[in-house]
Amino acid sequence: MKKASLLVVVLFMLVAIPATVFLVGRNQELRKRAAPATSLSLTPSSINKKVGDVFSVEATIDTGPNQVVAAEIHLVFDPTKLEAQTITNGSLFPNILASGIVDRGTASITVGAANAVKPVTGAGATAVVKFKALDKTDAPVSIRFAANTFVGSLGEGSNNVLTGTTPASVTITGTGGIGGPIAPSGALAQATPTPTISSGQTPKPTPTPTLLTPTPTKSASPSAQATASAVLITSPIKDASVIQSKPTISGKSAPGATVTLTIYSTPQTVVVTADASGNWSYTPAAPLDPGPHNVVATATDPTGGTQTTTTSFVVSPGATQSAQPVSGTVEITYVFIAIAVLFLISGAVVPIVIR
Amino acid sequence: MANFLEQNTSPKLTTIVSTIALLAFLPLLLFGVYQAVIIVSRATGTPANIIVDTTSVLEPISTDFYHAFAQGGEESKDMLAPVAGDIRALKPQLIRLDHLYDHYDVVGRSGNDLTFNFSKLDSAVDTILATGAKPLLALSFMPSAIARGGKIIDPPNNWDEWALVVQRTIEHYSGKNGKNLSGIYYEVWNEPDLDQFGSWKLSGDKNYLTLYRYAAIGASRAQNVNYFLLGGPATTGLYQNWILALVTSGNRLDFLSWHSYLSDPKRFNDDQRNLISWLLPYPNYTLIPKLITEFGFTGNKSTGYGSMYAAAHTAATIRQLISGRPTYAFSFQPVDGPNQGATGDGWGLITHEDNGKKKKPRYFVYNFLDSMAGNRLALFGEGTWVTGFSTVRDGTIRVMLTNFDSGGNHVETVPITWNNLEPGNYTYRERFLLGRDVTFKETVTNFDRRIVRQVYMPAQSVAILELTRQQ
Repeated sequence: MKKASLLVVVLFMLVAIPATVFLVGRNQELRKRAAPATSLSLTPSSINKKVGDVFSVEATIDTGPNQVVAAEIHLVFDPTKLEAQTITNGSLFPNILASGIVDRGTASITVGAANAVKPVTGAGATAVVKFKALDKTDAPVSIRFAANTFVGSLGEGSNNVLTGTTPASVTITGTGGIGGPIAPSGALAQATPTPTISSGQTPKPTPTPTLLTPTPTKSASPSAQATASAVLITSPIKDASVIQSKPTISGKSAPGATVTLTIYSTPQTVVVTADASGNWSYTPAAPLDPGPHNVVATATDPTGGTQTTTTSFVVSPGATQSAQPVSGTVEITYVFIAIAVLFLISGAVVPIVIR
Repeated sequence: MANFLEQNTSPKLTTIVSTIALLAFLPLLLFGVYQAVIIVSRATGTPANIIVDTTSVLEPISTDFYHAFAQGGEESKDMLAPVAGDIRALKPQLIRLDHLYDHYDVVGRSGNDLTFNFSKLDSAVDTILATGAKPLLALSFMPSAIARGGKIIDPPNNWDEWALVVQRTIEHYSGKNGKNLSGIYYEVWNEPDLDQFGSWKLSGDKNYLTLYRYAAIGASRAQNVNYFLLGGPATTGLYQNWILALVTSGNRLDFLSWHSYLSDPKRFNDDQRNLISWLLPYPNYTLIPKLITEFGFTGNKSTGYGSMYAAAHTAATIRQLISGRPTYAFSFQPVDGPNQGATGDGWGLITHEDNGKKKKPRYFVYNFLDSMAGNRLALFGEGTWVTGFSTVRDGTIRVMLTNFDSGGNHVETVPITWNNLEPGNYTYRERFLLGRDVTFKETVTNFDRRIVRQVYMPAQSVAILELTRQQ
């Protein structure tokens, strides 16, 4: 009887363990698939304005299945054509975590849900940006999300759950003159003419002919659907513990793609270009602090759309800057040897001469 | 002098005198160069040219977050009691107390058991409650009854006894059978990184994470209690390694706290940005409350705390935190300790009762700024010294300006333009903290729809400018 019971238990275990492993694995796979479903888009996606018009653009989020707690929004645009005047939080995110900054060609803000108990789900505005049209455009210019835009979600750890962004396309025509229309409060993309303030009192950017960031030359698809990730970080592998304080970060993307890497928790952003085989790599110039770090890699396609992937790793305490021990530069050694020889000679020769 | 010496003294004496002269004058020369550099760099700042777009309405502004105050422990008694009425007038939301276990005789020992007597601490907490605030209790320092060698800045002989102290404290104040308070913040220790308070590290024998872990264990054992929050690390500044060590420690962490003594108000904003960037990869902690549980322009006692300097610094700091702010910023401290001199050099908003309980200029800044509640308006053209923000509420447009010069006496006449106003007659009121309060009439025509004024801002001044359209 005992033997029979034991047999039943063993058989049960043999069936239950693989079944449990399979079901857990499936759940993880489902979770993995659900994670990269958050997208950001700019609305209106297509804007026609006259020089001097002031208009608002909303950065709209579709969280998908994610429970979003915070969004760090970075927008880039052509500063010779557009001036960002203000940026504030959108209706879906009542919490401004880091105040908005508008600068030449950039606007940024970090917004959050009311609290972690009430994360943001669904679709709505994360941020509202007011722009002024500065100069007419020969072809539409874009306002797009920068590669270091980040969306954090409960249950997703340090992953950037944002995988797709859609830019806005702006066409500026006419000669509305300097200054001009100001949008009424709360209005979106509607201009109301008002008198202007005198020259010298309005903080205005100084136009330059050079763009700071690539700008698409044709309008992008207004679709806000997230796309499959086209950029991959191959090293360090997720949650790896690395012994170098300057670990090489490498990955794959489309050949020739521009990949922007942002390394947290000491934020540093660099842009690398994939080679003909789609391989790219970067070694931090400065050592990373011991402890956890996250990397966000974003590949930008020609329309200004982006694909993002993330990884995290830990720099071990006592990590070295390089796997190879550094022994100094040979030039400095030569100089020291030369000085030493001079001292040696002078120490030997001078007493002889004096004697 | 050299010729005189050479002619009248021996060469050896000349050498000695010359060397002494050189040594005496070298520091003076260096000091002179240092001051010259300061003056030159100060002169290179940008004057303000304020422009308010009255149609550009942004987010709502909170005026609660700076109605928080932290009282130090210069006396082992209820220091707030003598000035409770004046503190109540500040409309405090939270008041922080530290030195719980070394000033209020809470913990004793009877044989192998610990004894607890909260009566003295209760008096101090009751005073805080009487001001309309809730207490924030900094669980510090180690009760001598359990501390190793009786030293209050050292670890306990038995960590479980530290956990028990925390448990009993929480049960006493948050317990439904105790004081029955809800929403109390319990902060683990005070400035653990400071030598004076133990020089705790993130590893080794005096590991703050161990101190915190056992506090969290004590908190988890608290029975029949209302909602409360446990957090830290209450360091002397915002340090990434301390914040992330706590975030990744796996312990209960309901809020983050640190102290900021920074003369440059803009660095308060930098701290907020840095903190959020560190926390973004940790979504469970991105939104937890963040408390600056002590702030000021210096951690040292200074005559500046008794002058408009401190008031202007506070206003300039609040301006930096008005958007993207901490949950609370605690001004240190409500009342001076004893023996601060006639000018009241201590950190207090009010001088000690031995020195007349006089209100210092900083005392008045909090309520003064409250009129800025409303929706923020777009304001451009802040300068190096003059900064500000604008709001609108019930049809009145306000601009807060402060001229804070951390190193000197910079004065400035500031042009200010309100754009896109409705045509009509306006009342313009210009009032300074502890200064002039004047009213003018202004007319806005349909031609330019704006008002332009020049406002003279003395050094270390705070002003609120109000525009109200007459019906």
